[in-house]
Amino acid sequence: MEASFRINGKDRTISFSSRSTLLEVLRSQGHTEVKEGCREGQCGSCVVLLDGKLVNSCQVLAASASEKDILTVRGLGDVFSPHPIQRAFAYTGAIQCGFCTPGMILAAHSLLLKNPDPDEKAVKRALDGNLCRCTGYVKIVEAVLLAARRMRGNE
Amino acid sequence: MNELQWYFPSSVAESEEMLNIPKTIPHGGGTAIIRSGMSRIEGLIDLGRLGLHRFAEGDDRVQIGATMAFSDVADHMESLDRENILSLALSCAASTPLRNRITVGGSISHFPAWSDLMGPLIALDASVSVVGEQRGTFRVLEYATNPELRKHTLITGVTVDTQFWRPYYHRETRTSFDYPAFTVTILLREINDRIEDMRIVIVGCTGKFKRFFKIEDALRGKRCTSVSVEGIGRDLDIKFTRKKSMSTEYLRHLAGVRLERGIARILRR
Repeated sequence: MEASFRINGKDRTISFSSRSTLLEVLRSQGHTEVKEGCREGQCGSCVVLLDGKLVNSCQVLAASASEKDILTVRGLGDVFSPHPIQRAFAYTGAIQCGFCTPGMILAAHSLLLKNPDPDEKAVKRALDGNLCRCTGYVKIVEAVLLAARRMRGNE
Repeated sequence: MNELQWYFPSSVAESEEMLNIPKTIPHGGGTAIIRSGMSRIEGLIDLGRLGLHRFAEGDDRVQIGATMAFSDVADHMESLDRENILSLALSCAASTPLRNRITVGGSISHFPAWSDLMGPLIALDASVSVVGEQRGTFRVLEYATNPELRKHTLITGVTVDTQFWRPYYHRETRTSFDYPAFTVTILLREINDRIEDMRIVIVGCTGKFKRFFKIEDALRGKRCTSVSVEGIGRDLDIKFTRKKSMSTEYLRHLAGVRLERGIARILRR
């Protein structure tokens, strides 16, 4: 089947199997920043923002996302023009292997859109669907709080 | 595997006609279909264009559209009443990205044993609006126990009471992300220290759920401060099937303990 999506601000028409998940479709189109982890909605490495909402793309059938707006971490910023959350992750050393990082950054972005001044509890709660097996979360939470302060202009 | 046939109706009436297509089921956007496997499904009716993504407020009640996600419901109910049972239960279900995806309609029609939605809905005596082969508004208790209501039907929404109930909700899990072994929902309405009404529901037992009418009746009218909580859970009339690391006896005992603690908590002991 064929459907249109708006991925990172660009309209795309894509052919895919009617049983495909959004994760499969995005990766087949070169969006390898959307990581394939558990495929069960448990790890959060595949999260994207679908019409502004954080979702596990492995749990979304691509056909049901047709004509919707999709944001991956690449749409947030890149190495030449990083987003403040990406900068904060690098600054605090909140990255080891990096596999969970795109998901963590999008989850943080989703939180800060709703709540620009979160406390530590709110950050932990917002990241409850994202697993990291390297860092132990301390630096990640620190990075999100730092990004929030910087985005509010407090640092 | 065969290709899936997708249908994109633009009205509820149009979607009703599609409910009789063999091996074709409604899909509101939730996760149940992917999780339960799609090998036997040949068609999906996308509910995204039916206008079911909405809340409709009425006198002391709110109708929640079937495609509203758990996170939408938790936020909306919290905005109406900070101590709302639906907000309390749904905000601790699954994880943030899953709560943004799991829908009310899907969760009612599939009613998984680990449901965080059904306990509160049964306790609130919610009503489910259905179209298709069966049409009308049914008490959620009836919908959950009558399989005929689920055949070739589509849930369009659920209506809940928004009057104040003091809530208590417990998920029996080892970590917050676990599927609960069972959940305990208790609602209390008191006037001047007297129990005006109480609702008690456990979900996850044999038969999926149990509402404890006898205990509710026994407590109704009593003074909150005079209720003897100890022993209420000891002879609890409930059965469980064995789970991976929990025997049936252990689960029954645990449910009794959690229920007693819940009643004590809601009575502010």
